[in-house]
Amino acid sequence: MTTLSLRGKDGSSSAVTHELAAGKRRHKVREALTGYLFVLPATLATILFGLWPVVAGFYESIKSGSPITNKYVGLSNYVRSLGSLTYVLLFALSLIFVWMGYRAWRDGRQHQQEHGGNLWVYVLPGLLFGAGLIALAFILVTGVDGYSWFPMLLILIALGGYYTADAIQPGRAARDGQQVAVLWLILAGLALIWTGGPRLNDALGLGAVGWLLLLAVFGALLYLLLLRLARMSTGRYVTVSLLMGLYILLTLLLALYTTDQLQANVAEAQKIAALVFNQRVSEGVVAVPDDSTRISGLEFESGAVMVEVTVKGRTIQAPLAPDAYGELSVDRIARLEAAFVNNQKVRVILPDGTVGEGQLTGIAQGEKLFVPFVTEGARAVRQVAIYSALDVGEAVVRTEGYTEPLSRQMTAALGIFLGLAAVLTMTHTRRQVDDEEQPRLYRWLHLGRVLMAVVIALLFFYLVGALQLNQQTAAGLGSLTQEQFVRAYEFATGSTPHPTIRPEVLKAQLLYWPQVFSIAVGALLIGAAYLVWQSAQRRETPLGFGLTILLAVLMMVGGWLLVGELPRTLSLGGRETQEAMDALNRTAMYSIGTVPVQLGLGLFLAYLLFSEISIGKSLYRVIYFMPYIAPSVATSTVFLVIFRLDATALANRVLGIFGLEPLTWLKEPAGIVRIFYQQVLGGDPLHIPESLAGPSLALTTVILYNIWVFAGYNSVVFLAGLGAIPGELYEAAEVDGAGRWSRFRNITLPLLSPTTFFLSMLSIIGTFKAFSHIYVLRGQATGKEIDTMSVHIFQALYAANDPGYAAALAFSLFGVILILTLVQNRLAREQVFYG
Amino acid sequence: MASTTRTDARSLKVPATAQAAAPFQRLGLHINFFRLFVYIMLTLGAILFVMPFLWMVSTSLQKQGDIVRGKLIPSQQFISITAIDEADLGRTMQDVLDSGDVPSYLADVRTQIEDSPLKRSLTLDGYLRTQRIGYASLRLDIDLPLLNKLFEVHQDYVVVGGAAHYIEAWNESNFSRYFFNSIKVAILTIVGQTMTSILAAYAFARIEFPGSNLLFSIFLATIFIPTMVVLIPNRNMVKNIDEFFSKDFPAKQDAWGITEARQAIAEPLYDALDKVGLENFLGLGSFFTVDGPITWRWMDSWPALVVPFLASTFSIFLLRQFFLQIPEDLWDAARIDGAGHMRFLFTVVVPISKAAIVTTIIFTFIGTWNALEWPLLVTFSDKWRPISYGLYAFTTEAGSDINLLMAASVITLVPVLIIYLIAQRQFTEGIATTGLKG
Repeated sequence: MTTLSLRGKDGSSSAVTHELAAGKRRHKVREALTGYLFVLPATLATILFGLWPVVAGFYESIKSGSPITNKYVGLSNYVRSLGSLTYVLLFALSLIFVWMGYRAWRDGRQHQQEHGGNLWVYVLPGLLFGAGLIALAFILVTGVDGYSWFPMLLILIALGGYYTADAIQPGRAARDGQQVAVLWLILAGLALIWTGGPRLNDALGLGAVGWLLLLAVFGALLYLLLLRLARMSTGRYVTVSLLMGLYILLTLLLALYTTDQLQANVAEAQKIAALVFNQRVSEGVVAVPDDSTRISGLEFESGAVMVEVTVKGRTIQAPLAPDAYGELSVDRIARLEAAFVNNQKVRVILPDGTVGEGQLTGIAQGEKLFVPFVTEGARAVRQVAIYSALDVGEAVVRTEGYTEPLSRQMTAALGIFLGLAAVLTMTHTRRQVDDEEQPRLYRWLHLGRVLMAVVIALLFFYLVGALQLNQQTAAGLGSLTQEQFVRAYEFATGSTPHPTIRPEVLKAQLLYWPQVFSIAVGALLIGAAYLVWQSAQRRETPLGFGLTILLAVLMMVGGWLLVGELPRTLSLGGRETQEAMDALNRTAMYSIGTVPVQLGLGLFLAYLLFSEISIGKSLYRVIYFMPYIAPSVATSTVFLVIFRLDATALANRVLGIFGLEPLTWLKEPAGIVRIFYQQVLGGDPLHIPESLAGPSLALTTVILYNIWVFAGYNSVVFLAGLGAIPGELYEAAEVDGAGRWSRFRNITLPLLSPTTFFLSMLSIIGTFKAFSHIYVLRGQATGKEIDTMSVHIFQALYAANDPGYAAALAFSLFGVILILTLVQNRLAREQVFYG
Repeated sequence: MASTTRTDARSLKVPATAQAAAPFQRLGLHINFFRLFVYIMLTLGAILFVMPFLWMVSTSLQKQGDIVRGKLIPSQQFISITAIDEADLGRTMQDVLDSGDVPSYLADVRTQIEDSPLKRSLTLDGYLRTQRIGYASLRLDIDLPLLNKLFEVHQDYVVVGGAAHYIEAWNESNFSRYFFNSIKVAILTIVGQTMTSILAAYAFARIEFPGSNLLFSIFLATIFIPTMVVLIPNRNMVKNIDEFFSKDFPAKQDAWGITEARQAIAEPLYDALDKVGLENFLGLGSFFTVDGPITWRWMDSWPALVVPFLASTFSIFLLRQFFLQIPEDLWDAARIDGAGHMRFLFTVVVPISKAAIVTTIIFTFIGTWNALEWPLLVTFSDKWRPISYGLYAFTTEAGSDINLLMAASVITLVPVLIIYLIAQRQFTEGIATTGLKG
């Protein structure tokens, strides 16, 4: 992170150098002022139209965004585009914030070790400052009126805190204490003016001029304060603590917000599931009759056993037993329960020996339900519970509607993670404790570890059970048709469900948490597997090494299996998620199809241009660069015409030269591998599986366009890179007898890697941002074959007028770009050779 | 022949290359096959690269029939007659022909064609479809001798060959208006952006101030933000500013005393501007006309198209890289002469950084010229819609008029190409020296 570079160096200046230092400082201040003045216009424009929109855009993405009902909808726009992946990603993001906060702290601690001072006293002001900034952003974005004093107050207190912290640093003179007091006074004055300004003005009768003067005085004071802050000897701590504060708060806010959203979403589904399934119909006692009695409630009706059930004062004829139970005679009616739970085939044998078989229709299930069997002359033997029988139609769901509250489960999950952290800490501490000197502590640590492991195991089993319940209920909901669901819902609540409440939606919602959990655990397992794999190198014995590797592999496989939930998760997300994923897929395909070819071609051309030509070099360069310079709307219009679908289009005529059939280019959704297989090899295109079909021909056309446009640009940049390689290297290699290829392979490529890295990053980001040419070219496409993410987002905004959803999609794309950049940077650290 | 492999400047410094090539000469092997291969590949590549452009021009000059027939070279054997009589405006060709008072030149053409022994087919290709005779052209298949004759007699309104397509495309649905809109927006953006970028780049390169690194990394971070993320909030922002200047601000002007002040200053100014015909320059007319409060449209007007692009991280980055290479001695010398930052910047730095500045200007120009998604969002009328929109709209409505579409594309392309070819040297230099050290 950056540090405030202007720092007072006048710690121990003598009287003679003091004046010099003061002059220097004055000069520095003037210099700094000029600098600020110079960057001001650009900064204003960038902040207003480049950075601020990121904050405002996030706010936009959590609103419905339609002009009429622009209300807050939480994360649902994200869930629409990413399904439950949203929650996983947001939790991951808060973990990243933790990591960044940790890095800031490490940074500060290192500084502390090198330069002395106390970091901790800065943490509180840092937190306050961070809170102030976040509150300020929140108020600015949401336009809440009347709370502007709050962030200002926080920031002022934080400023005061910084000065106090600076003053109590070791080695401070007492004079500083007075300064701090004065400072607090100024801050208090500022706060007073800020909050009570107009009233103060009236009371003092200052008038406009006096008021302005007062403001000017305090403004100047504040300015001096800020300058002084920049010169503070511990400026590093200010930055570090501010970052820490920001990260900690962002982590907390994000984690809480995500949890809250997840909970809100799941809780609704849980509630409805409970309503639908867990209907306590009525309580009663099942009297198991002796052989001579008859159960009047049970009767056969065209193969079905009907039960008369009183539900909330309403008596319904519910057919009992759909797919039946094992063998059941009425005196063993207690087995009904198990039968319903396990969905067994059941026969009912009535006391008179008749065997009831057939479909038990209309029994939905839920919580325990006591059905009063009206029997004649029976004695009550025991109470039997069966599941609620509701006339929800043909298919009967037999699932517990009950699910554990999410908060409990998440607490358990948190407990597991904290427990793991505790185990790791204890292991780490134990390694440093000498068992000779402190045998007791050594043993206690071991015991603690074991205990903790037991707790973790218990929590884990609880969680698995709870997740199982969740999934059962979800499955139950999933098997209901809309009609059945509505009937059950109506029965339970007496009102019709809102049209957006649909069983498949509820099912998806109920699955959010299991999915989040399994994906998170999978990712963690993979991460842990990586660590274990690395630790294998430290094992001394071959057996230990092998076992560790085996463990790592097992963990890796387990992790992948859990992460493998992902595609299913996304497919649950409904049509919009599917569309977003398709768009993202196309973008990836577009990127993969474009970048390597475009870079390779660029390098090839640059190499040719660089090597051995004397005439026309600049002419070639001009020509190769032309597509890049030409307006993309114009050139893509040309491509639109060249790749028309009629046989007279240029592209088709070129195909004709080679004796190939004309193609429909931009209208063709079939993959290119299939087309090649059919056209050139004459096979049946369906022999090629979908996954190997490659990008659609329509997308390939766009890829061709992109290559045509950017190859020249790449070659010009490569050319500059080639020029920077010292010629002596080639000379030396040539003297050593290296051939052209070997020189290229061993000198050019490695020395060009920074350029290659720069270009590949630019190209990948470019393909993810690409818009106008695709937008022009899609004019001829029939479907969405070439709608990459950018176009998809734009269409959501422009055509569908759904800004909230569009903003959520845009942020998802942003995330993808960020991750790609980070991964690339990481790879570059290992692969790029910077001389 | 010593220079067989000595082509680039770098190896010139090292004469060893010449010695390495010597054995080839002794063998008398003068054809360097590798070089031949390089030339062949480069030329093939160049043909491929330039093809779409040539094809675009060729198509724009062809008759519809020739395009379908698959000709590659436009034939000269057709003429277009552009009717430019004021009286004919708004009338279809059919009207004109039916009414009997056929303009003399049309009548002449008709008789001449009918008299012609060849009597080639007279196609009203594209003509009757176009409703307004004033903007349309009659394209005829005609023989060369007759063409020459016609041309002699009617050179004012006879256009030979496909040039007519350009005239038609230019006049087609406000295309010329879009063109000039884009020029205006580009000029405003370039001026603004170049100023802010030069200042900021200079400050980042030369002036030490607290937080400069932090600020610069914040600027750089904006590169990774996809356009789509900022599109939506920016539209809202522009909309809000627009609403402020057209609703809240006008309501308060009396109270703030602005109206009075305007009466004193603006009226004479307005009169002066009125005389030169600039009374509504950049839509600021409401500032000068004293009746009614000042309003300032942002939506569907130039500020929406210009203001969000006043700062460009890319330009700042590029210029900063360039400014960093300027030797420190120059600054020291300027300091001794008593020059401040401002003077040093505009008398020393800017003149020697011409290549980089030209590069940024070209990039800005291309960016403005290309912008499609943003204008689609913030403009609703032809008043300020740019050329990219015009061409995009053309692609959706031109249908089978491929030659017109290509002519429109050429019109869109030409300004950029001209600027590029003029500034080509500085441009490639600018990219090569600054576009690299990411």
